[in-house]
Amino acid sequence: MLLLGVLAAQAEAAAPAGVAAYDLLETEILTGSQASVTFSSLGDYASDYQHLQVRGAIMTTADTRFWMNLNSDTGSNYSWHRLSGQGSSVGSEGNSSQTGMRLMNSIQPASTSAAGIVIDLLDCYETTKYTTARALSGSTGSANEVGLFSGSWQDTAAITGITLGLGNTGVGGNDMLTGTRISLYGLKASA
Amino acid sequence: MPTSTYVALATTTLGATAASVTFSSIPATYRDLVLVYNGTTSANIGVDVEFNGDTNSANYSRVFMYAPPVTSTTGGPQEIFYSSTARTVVTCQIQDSSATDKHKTLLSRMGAVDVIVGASALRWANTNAITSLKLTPKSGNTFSSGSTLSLFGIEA
Repeated sequence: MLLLGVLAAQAEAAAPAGVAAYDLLETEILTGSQASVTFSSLGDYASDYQHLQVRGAIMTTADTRFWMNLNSDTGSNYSWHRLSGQGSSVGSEGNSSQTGMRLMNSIQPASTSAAGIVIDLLDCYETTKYTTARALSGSTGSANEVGLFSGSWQDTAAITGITLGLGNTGVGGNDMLTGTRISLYGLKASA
Repeated sequence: MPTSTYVALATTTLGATAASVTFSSIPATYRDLVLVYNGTTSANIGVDVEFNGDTNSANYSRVFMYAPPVTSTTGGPQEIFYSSTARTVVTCQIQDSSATDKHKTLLSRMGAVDVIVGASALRWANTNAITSLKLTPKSGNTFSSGSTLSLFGIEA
């Protein structure tokens, strides 16, 4: 057995090369039930970051789905794909002309059991290409599923806002519970 | 105000085979943890996790997808990835690892050369902050010399 004390290992580690490139930008920890979370000042970060990442621990009372909208666009301008496993089977699905990106397919309904999700938004400030996202998400329990997702927003605008929420067909319909945490991070481009 | 984070907490490259690897004294400073594994094992085998010394498998549940499916040497609620004798790369995301109001969720994504590609989600039904994390290949197998395991912390 190898015992590795984190603090001891820190002391032994060599100083990292390069520049720190991953920053915490904003965090929402819900103090009451809430239908959605919006980060609306993303334009402020455009000059400093190439990609964004969203990390969350989501709690709800119903087995439902997790969605993302960009720049408050709720038109049919999104597409998404999923590859997900329920342990005994694996399913895949894709849809275009959607009103949001589905990034989690099933969430364990409980006030103490959180579904995890990590979303990467790639080149989201560039205006020459559609914004794409990928996600790894999952929860266990009565809603037992892990999934890999990709999504596209068919708009070349730089993103200025992200709205995240629950529902069967898009954001809305189910609340996220107290204690749900969603954080936004920025990844810098090389100089 | 942006805060630089994604901090390297510990890294080990094994100098000999090891039946398990434990990260201990994990600080509560960080909301999430990220575990990165790049290594091999003595057999193509599942690797179990144990948080805070909790060996009661009833406190763990997991769901996975492996392609192609593997069944003979895998399974059990504590398995978070599958490692091969050739090479395996895994990233595990542990959400809200220091929070005390919810169970802990781990998401892993893996590729085991010539064996499988897959992902899994695991829940530890405990609201305590994670202070230690132990990884053990199943059935008495070992991590091979040269395997690298790293732990990172992310603030929120």
